[in-house]
Amino acid sequence: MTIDDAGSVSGSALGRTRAAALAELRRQPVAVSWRRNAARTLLAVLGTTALVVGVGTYASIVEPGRLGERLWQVALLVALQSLGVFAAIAPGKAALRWTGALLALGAVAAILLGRGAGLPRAIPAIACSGSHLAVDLIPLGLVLYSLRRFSWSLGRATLAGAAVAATGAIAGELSCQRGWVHALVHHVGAGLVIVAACVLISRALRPQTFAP
Amino acid sequence: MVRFCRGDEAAFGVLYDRYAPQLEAFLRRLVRDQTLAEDLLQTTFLSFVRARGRYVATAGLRAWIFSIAANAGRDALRRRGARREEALGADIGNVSGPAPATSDPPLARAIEEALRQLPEDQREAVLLHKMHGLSFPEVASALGTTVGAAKVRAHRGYQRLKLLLAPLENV
Repeated sequence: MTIDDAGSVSGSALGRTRAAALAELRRQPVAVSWRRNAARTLLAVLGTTALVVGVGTYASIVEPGRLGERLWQVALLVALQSLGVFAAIAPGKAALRWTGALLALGAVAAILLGRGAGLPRAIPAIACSGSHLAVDLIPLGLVLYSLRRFSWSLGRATLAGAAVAATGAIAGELSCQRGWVHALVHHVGAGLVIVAACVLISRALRPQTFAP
Repeated sequence: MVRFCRGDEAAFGVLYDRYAPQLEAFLRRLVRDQTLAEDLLQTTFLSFVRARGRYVATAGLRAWIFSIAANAGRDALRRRGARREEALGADIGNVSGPAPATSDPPLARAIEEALRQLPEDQREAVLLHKMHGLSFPEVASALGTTVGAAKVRAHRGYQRLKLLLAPLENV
């Protein structure tokens, strides 16, 4: 079974499409590498994390001295941000996305296991969820902008959301000493809200391109 | 492709002449709407130009550009949402363009009708493999799935086509 492709095409439609594509090519004659896009997004996300920790330290909310106690957790979360952003943006790389998913689960386990019974704090527990969500807003916007450059996929959006949620989780690790139940509800829970928001918003946005 | 990535319009012209007719035919059969297929062809080539920095030569250019077209088609069908089924009913019989080239026009029309009745994922696999000659690794790459899954989709599509076209054997 074959088809006579050329015979079915409207000449004017082909002409319009060619003209539009050529105009786009003239507008952007040099291709933008996906690596550059991934590097910019990653730098922006890591920069936002540094800014959040810096401002939190200045406001005496974040305690950088706790970094020694939470070194593993923070290292895993930074690795999740880096791998998550890279794997979400890179074309192909399905194995890398699965590695990112495992890293996210590992980071959650490390956060919960590292908390133990915890210590009480004066501020309400819900403040942790609120601040977690608030500090994730800027990286969420940056990641959503990058996700629009290619066709939507659930795996990419989920991993990108996890990378964004790691920003709030790092701030949480350096500022909150409550126990694992609190961490599960107010930190991991807030992270899941961010992942869900990233998936749903990116799905609703019309992508700039449909490239895989 | 390297010259095209540097903005060479002549290189783009060669690629356009090679793929545009095939993509238009694929999109028309995928969305079953001539006007929408023409819009999607433009969307596909705009994506091709804008996202050429994402191309990696693992599965080949043909699989990559068909992947863009399939993604655009799927997105358009999804956005039509609830209106889709109504539109499909209205579109059957309204799609212009030739049927598959056979020496028997009623048979060709029957094949078109049967293709329209396939589920979207099976139709994509059958169209790419049988009508556009992509290999299964290329089909898998274009549909963002594994080679095994692409084969299963195509196989189910062929089985269903066989059932749908069975009455013709008795004519």
